[in-house]
Amino acid sequence: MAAIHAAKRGADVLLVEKGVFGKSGCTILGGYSCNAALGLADKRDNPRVHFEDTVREGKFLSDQTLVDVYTSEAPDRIYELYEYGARFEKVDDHFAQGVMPGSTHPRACFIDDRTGQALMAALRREASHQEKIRIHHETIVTRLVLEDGRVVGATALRLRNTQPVCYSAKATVIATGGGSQLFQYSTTSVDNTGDGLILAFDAGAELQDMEFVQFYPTVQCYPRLLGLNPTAPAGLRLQARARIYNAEGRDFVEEKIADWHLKATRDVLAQMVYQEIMEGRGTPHGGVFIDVSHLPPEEVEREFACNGFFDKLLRMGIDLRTDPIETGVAAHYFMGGTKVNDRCETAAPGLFAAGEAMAGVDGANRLGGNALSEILVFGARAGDYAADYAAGAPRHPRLGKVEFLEPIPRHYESDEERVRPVRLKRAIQRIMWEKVGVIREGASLQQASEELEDLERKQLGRLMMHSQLKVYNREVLDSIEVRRMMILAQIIAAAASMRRESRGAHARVDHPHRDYKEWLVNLVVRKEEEGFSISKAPVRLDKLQVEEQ
Amino acid sequence: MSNETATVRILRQDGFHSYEIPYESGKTVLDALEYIYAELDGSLGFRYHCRAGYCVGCGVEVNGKKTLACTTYMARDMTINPLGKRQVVRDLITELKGSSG
Repeated sequence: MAAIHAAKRGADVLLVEKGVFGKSGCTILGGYSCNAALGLADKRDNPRVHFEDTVREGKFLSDQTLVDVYTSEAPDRIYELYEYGARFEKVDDHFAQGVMPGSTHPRACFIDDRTGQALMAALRREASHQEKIRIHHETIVTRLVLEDGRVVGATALRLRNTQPVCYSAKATVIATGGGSQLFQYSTTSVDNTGDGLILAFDAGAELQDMEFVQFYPTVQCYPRLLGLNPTAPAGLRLQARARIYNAEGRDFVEEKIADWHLKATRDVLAQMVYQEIMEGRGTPHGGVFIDVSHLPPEEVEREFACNGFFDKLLRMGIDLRTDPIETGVAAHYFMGGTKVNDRCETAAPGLFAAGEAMAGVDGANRLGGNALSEILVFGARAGDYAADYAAGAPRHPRLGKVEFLEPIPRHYESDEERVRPVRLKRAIQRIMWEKVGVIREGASLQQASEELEDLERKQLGRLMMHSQLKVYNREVLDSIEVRRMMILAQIIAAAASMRRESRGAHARVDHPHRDYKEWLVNLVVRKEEEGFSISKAPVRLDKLQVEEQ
Repeated sequence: MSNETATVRILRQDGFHSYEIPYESGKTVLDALEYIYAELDGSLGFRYHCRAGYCVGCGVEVNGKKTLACTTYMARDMTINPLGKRQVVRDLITELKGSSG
């Protein structure tokens, strides 16, 4: 979206993508909902109500200026995507709008249950038609290049042949998503390793709200549900009165919340499921059971006939009339990211950020259905303002001699001292899952920080690879990603340790209450000569005052 | 979990390589490739993004059938080839359709 807008504003655009253009990243996995207050299904809906829902669901930590921009512009972006060929479903002669939990009125536009994929297809088509957009895919940016504190380009590595390349640019937009792959279990694409956040951080941008990671309850665990969204098992609890029970057969959710199907929100359910698993009452594959086999067989068939769900599972050998499936919890979305103003500018001049890679709209918890329209609104803005910035820049930057690569391991012989990047990734993911996951506690957060520091000291400088191949060497990619994951993991653990309260997606057993007196602040992370610092920044409540919940 | 194993033969640049891996009935061919890469052989070339059948990046042939590695359950005996009609870049990685950059 940023590339399209920048090109339409006259800029020459190079779109650099780590994976395959339009196929990598998480947008394609976006399921059903894309929120915009069009007021079509209910005339009482408007951007102000959407604003209030978003700020309330963000537990009042959102940047209200950004939320105002987002909710005001989302309707226009929906119509723009329709122009690009995204065929939102209609009722009569207008777009259909569905209801999402947390939204006062129905405002979710959708295209079957594959809205993200359809949006990306439309964006991909539109970008391909723009002559001013060139695309380098399967290319990982290794560093942003600075000149007098301004971002003037980037170095990168073409994964196809491990060739380094250098780009000069008057303006740069980070639209790389979040970093949910830092956790052992994640609903996101494998690309989601926080690359852009660390590139921006290293270039002098600030990160914000990094302690807030949304975890999704009832995701795929075992068996794999082929060709279905990672969040597919959620349908069993949302559409029917599913049972959720642990390996001992106890309905642990029902025991605590009688009408949990209606009342248990994502965060509450995620915390309960996570606790069962972490306390050893999970299934062999690290989940719990979700089951609709207690319902009349004909009801199960009828309820899940939609989109062929029942039949698809049957073809995989899973009969919902008799079989439970193992479901789990997984990291889903980063509310935090690069701190930006309403022009999507970061603290590093020349650098812009958009979408999940930016912080501010979602606060402590994202409203279901906001992610897809956030990328449209802020992608458009980042593209527009980056193009304007580039047009006003005095000259095209000439890059001098630049250090173009993050170090890639040169060791190929196995020995006890050395570790492969993929193994180090898994060690980080395990620490993050067990100690910085859905339920947090001061001592284990501290322990996580110490373990991560220990890994960084002992292993990050001792990476080795099996292969010296230059063509699509996955170990090269892993060795670049793992360095970023290591820094990002330490930042998240430190921010989660610092916030001594529970709010939204951040649940601390040692500080279980929301503290409006001390903690109505955003945590802002800056790079320092040695490591990083975290400071508190008060939230501006100029458009909606706090309603203590 | 069982102690069963699966035999996976992969057609790579220099011919077939054979791997023995743990077999689990509800896991996919992509899980098998990830296991081989992480535990046995880091030089294996394969492409994937979403693991859910959306990105269609992990197209291969399994026992002669064109499919996605992430939407096919693993078998006890598998022969995995790159997609037949595309030019192979390395191992299971083939040229992309309409590749522009």
